[in-house]
Amino acid sequence: MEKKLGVYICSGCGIGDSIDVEALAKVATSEKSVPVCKDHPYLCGAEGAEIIRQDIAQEGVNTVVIAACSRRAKTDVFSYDPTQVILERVNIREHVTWCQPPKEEDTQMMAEDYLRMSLAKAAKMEVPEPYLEEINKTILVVGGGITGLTAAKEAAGAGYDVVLVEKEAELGGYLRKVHKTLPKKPPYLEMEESNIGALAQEVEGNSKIKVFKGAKVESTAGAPGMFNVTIKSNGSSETVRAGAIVEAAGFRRYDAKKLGRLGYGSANVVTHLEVEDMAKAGKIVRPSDSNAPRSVAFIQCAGSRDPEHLPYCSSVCCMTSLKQAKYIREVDSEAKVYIIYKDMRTPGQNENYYKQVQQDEGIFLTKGEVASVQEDGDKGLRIEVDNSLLGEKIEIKADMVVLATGMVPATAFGEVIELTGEEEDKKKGAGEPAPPADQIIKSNILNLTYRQGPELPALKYGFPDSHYVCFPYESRRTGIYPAGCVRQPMEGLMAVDDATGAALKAIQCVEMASRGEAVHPRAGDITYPDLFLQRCTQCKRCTEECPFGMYDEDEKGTPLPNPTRCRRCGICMGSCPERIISFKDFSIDIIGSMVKAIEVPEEDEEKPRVVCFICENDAYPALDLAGINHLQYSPYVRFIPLRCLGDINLVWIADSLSKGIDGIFLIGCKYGDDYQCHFVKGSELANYRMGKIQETLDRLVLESERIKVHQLAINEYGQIPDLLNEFMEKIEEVGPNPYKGW
Amino acid sequence: MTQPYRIEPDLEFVRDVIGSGGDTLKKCFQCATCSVVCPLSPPEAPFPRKEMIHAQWGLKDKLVKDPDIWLCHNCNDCSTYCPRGAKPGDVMNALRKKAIEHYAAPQAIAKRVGDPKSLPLLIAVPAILIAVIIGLTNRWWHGDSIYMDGDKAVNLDQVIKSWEMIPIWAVDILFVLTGLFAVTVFAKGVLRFWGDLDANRTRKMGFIPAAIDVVKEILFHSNFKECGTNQDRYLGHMGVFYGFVALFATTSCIVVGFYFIDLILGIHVAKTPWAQWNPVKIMGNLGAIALLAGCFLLIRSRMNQKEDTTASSYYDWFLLGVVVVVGASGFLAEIVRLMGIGFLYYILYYIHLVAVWSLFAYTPFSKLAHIVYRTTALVHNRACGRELLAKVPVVCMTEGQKAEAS
Repeated sequence: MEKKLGVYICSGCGIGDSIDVEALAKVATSEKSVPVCKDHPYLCGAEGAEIIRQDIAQEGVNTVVIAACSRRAKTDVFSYDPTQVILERVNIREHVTWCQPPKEEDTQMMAEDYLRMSLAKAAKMEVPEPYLEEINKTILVVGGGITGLTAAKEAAGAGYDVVLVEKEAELGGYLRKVHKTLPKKPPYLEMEESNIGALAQEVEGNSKIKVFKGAKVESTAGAPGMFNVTIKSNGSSETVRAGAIVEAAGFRRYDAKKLGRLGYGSANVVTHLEVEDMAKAGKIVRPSDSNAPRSVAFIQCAGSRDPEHLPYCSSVCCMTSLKQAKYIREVDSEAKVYIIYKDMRTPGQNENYYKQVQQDEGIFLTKGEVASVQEDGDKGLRIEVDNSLLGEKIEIKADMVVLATGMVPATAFGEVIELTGEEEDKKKGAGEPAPPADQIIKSNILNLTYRQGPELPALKYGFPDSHYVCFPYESRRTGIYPAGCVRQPMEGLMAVDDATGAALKAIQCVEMASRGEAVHPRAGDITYPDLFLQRCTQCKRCTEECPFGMYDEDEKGTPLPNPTRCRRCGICMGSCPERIISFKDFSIDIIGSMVKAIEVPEEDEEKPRVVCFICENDAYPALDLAGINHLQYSPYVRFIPLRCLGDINLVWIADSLSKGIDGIFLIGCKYGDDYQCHFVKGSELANYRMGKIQETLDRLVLESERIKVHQLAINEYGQIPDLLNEFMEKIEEVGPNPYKGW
Repeated sequence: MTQPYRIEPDLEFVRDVIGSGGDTLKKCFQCATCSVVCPLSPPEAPFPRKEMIHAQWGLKDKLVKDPDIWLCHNCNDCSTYCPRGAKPGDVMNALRKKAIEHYAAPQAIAKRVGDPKSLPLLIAVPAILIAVIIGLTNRWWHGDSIYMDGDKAVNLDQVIKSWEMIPIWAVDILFVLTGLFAVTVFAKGVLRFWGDLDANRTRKMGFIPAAIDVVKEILFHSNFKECGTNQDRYLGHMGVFYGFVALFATTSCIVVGFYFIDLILGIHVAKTPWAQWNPVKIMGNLGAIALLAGCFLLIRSRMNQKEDTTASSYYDWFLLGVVVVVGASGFLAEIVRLMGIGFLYYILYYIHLVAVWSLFAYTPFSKLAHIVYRTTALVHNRACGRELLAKVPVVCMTEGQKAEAS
């Protein structure tokens, strides 16, 4: 494509009062000979926007550089067909005029540098072509409980073909075994009959849904839009094609055998499951003598919120106990039911149900710690409770004890593999730092044929991990959406919501994949990584470091990309020592050119320069917020936004330093257990790569203080001035970069 | 190691508390907002949070002996701030009823006093009793023969005389006997209560100094003043309290004057009726006005109660009703007597006698028994050094302040 550049400078929002817009325009017209350069006091207004549109339509401008507000603002106004027009935004509002003193030489230099950097970038950006393949839009649902059934029903209702795989001979999952369910409709006061049977029938009768019962997924190969799923049922295997997967594999109850401390093992100590079974069979009885118990004690958090068992709350056991207490009270108005809890937790509308059950005069609730459960002579049980709300240590006698055991996701069972390749093993052996590894449990649910392992990676407790707060339905594998209790403990009503959400995500995935767009979180991005494989050295860094398992490998270790699995984060680009991975609008060369476009003043001018590589998801908006709040910081920094800090490639560091840049500051997201990185491991990987920078510094004979990595949350924008100013002080202390002027 | 407390919930007791005005009891989820906002609750083991769970769990044994239910002055700050609508104030009220029932023997009477269905019976007993006495002693039938000498000592032809209907000695004998009954019931109850209190904690202070402190507190109603939500009850209760004190003092003066000075010493200075300017008479009239005004305030406060905060129970209205009838019938009887409307006077006087008898006889079983049980609990509390007033709000104390305070 023959590029025709157009530069448009906005002087509104105080920009024109702060900097010399004409002088800025000269950077484009004189220095870079840009054919079209215009300024306007209100570029995002109807008239301003029309100027650009006219130039595109009539002047043949196809590369638009807009120097105005943040790229996160006015995205609706400055929006052009990405397959026709290259767009680059220069943030001279939030990142320059709003955070620097007006009419200062340094402020002007800052704005001019940003324009130069963007012009350098625009010169190298190319129009992307979407990755288009034949996409199958069938939704595979693994698991036929309330979540799986709902997801199947919803996806089919939206017009998609569904394949449902259930391991049991019958559909329905856990709810098929319960006597009654928790309240499902307002005012949420009474337990209800389960409607799981009707739902299962509806699903089985739906012509768009193909149901495999007594079946399991033997293997899942391929990628979103083109999964090949081998399903084994009744002794034979069948391969179906699917576009996206809802993993609704459910949960198992925590193993009560580990709860001997709470009396499990005694005949009359049972769990919710047994009570449910008895209630369903018609009568709740004490196992030892088959008489109806006159007093029953429920022990909540049995093995939950306990570091030795399940450290988390399963969020449903409190309600289940309330419900089962009602089972007992409904048949015997003189029965006494005790509920000993750590905290009553009744999420959502279930607070109403809690209030309702509380009203029952024969149900006695107290917070407390169960000290012991012992058999009494006449086959009753004695429960000692410490720290009860009754103000002293108490002893309760009960005919039966029910342990409220928590939920363990089906994905938590199986051999744990710390995912590292041979290379990493070698490095570990040699004591070198290795990139952070994923934990994958071979739970035999999806049996992915991915190079990085057969199941979804977990962060904690075996729950498939996603960005828990921001992207709850996601997993670390594009197109595979955990839902229901496999994702998070939840009760039926929430599972229905969850299933519906996951079905919607699956539909979104197949639709976007069919248009060659990224699904998440760069939804709609049509770029994808190009690999110049002739120069690949099979080092496997990309295949190992991709947080999303995008690459498979051939036997030699050559990466085999699966673009529909890709999230377009660019972490592989940063990982590649040969610099062979690039996107049409984002590459090693493009960012390197931006670094090189920065004008570095001579040493005697005493104007140091610092390049700041920042994550565009958190650090960039944090800087926008700093601008909006008019926080001032050093005018010597130049920000270069990256898709993820994990894109950082050591060559940019070398480029910067050899150009005379005095310091390099990297701002990524928080990582660790409560990571905030949109791409899970990018920030952590950046940190790991900077651990290996010493070699580069040694070669250049430079001080390690010149490079700093920091993790910033978006709400910490107030710290930005101090962070930057402190780093500048450090740089001034270290002294100017000796490579200036080379 | 201390033995754990063995829980034996008494379902019947739970139902009783619910039926006695504590119907919101089970709504409590133990957040302890009540104990935090209560201006009277002590910092250590504060009420009414613990009473709420004890009651939910039907721990009758603990609750009837619990002095803290008597520390509560029912101001309803707790019920106003309760996030769950559990109305701890009403529950405490119901618990006090259960405690009175527990200690007052015979329990059959206690049960009836607390039960609205027995109200006709409770009225019928004194109504018939007094009617019978009138029938047996009335001068209209019996002439002058059964009158004491004292009655005839003054010529009172111009005024209406109560003894036209019932001789004073008959009234006195009836009320002395009834009073003795009440005192006996109280004595038995209080001794048991005191014994129960002593069994659970140790007194650090003598009975007398503790009692003096408590009497001071009662005279000034200082605890009542602490209550935030329900300030008009302070004046109302004060009025009723001092009204009773004045009326009691008046009656005592007359009894002492009539029986001791007049009859025994033979000095005829205390012939009734006394003149209106007599200081004792003035005291009596003022007492009646205070009583009625206090009742008016208390009734108005109960009528203005917000339903979501508190609901008045039959037990509350029974006591108020008796007191109002006592005060109103006595006061009106005096007025119509002075106006010379004999017929009306006799009816009112009869009603007054019935009401006063009810007050005497039912006191140990009614809410009025709080006079005795609350005072007992307060004295024991004072003696044990459990400060009634949390003078510094606990929630606002810093660690340093807490250390200083302790």
